[in-house]
Amino acid sequence: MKYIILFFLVFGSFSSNEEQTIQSSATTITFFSKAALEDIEAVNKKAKAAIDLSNGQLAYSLYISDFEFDKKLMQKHFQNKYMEVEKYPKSTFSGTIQNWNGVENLSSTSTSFPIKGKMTIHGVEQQINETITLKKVGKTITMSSTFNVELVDYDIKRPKVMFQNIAETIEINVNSSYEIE
Amino acid sequence: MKLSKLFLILFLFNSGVAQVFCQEKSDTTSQSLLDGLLEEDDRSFAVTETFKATRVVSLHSVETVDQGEFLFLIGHRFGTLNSGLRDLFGLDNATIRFGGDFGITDRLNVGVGRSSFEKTYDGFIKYKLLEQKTGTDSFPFTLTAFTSANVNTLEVPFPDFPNTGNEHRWDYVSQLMLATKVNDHVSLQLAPMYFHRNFVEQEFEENSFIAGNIGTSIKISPSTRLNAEYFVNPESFEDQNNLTNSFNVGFDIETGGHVFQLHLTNSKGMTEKFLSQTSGDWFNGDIFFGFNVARNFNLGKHN
Repeated sequence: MKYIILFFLVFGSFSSNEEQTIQSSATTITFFSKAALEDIEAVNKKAKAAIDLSNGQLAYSLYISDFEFDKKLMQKHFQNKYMEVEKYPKSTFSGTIQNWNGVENLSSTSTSFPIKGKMTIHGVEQQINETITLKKVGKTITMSSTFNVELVDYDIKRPKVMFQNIAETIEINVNSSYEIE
Repeated sequence: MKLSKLFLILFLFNSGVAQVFCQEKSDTTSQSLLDGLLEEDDRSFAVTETFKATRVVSLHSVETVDQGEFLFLIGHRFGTLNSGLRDLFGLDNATIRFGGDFGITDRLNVGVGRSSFEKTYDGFIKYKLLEQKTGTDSFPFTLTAFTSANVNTLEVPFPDFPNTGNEHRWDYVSQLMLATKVNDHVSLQLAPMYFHRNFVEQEFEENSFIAGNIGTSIKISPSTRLNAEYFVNPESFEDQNNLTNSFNVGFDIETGGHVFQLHLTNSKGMTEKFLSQTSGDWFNGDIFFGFNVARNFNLGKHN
């Protein structure tokens, strides 16, 4: 009997670290540029995201070509001239939600958590520290985050003649929802 | 050893070991989460901007204007560089074409234009049949079909033949353009063409003939490109006439909604029809300088 207990004691403790990975049912990413001559906005409704509910690990992946603009010509310039999608078709993020206390403890009112991780845009990787807001209502978890990105940090070149049309700092908005069984 | 002591040691041991394992898992999990997302996500996208504009230099490229967009194109062509200082190397003799390309859908375009040279109106329909794609469902080229009509509205269209009828003012040109964006830096285009002219001035000239053109675009910087096209007219190989093949070189500067094109050519006119009437010789200095301004207008919200 003692040895059975011993057995479970030794091996039982590992079960608490099981992965509970789920993929987002819908992730939308929007970015916004405000400049003297014009405001630019684009939406990506086909982004993918995944979370490990056991430890708050988070990952996002999107195709740059999925960003939709009102002006199709602008969309083409964005893809070819600025983002060089031929070389860098995707942008990604992988990181951790800090102070993660398990999915059971998520509130039904929005709560902010710090998030740290690696953001890769245009082939350049940067460590970022931002804030993400989470809430759990029933079986749905929604997450959103708004943060700024500097073009220069990701080697995205803006021609001097466009300085009144394209901002140096772009605001990015990320929204995801997950369904838990 | 007492069993309780053993349990205590094992408990501490497990917590410690579990911690270490937990740490390693945490460090790799977000990356492996990302790897999982990246693994199942391979898609195909249409290749865009094989050429920066709907023209390579003077001739059409496979590019079409998107739905609801209107491209306003103003073309200027001056006289030949060998006209000498008196004529300011051709600057005194300018002809102009203004026109527009309109996107009925992303693939279907219509356009009209008017050249001051021979007061010719041109109209065309252009349809992108196939699109080049990258990714899992890749497809190697873009294929666009084009048909146009040109009408000479000079009071006497052919001065040496004052009794021609109105039907003789018309020329028709069709082509099938096949292009590939080799990479971000180079694009190539090949186009067999079919001409039909209702009136020809010389007896040995054919009313209908097949010709062809090849074009290329080379990226110099994100906003500039060097383009060239070579139009081969089979009639140029006849000894009786002095027709030559048309070679055009252009330099594109793109800024947001405008494209500025500077070009050098041995052809006087700016549309397909005129290229078939080329008689200039590059090596003789029969080079025309010109420039185009193309401005893109968004007439409808594209969704």
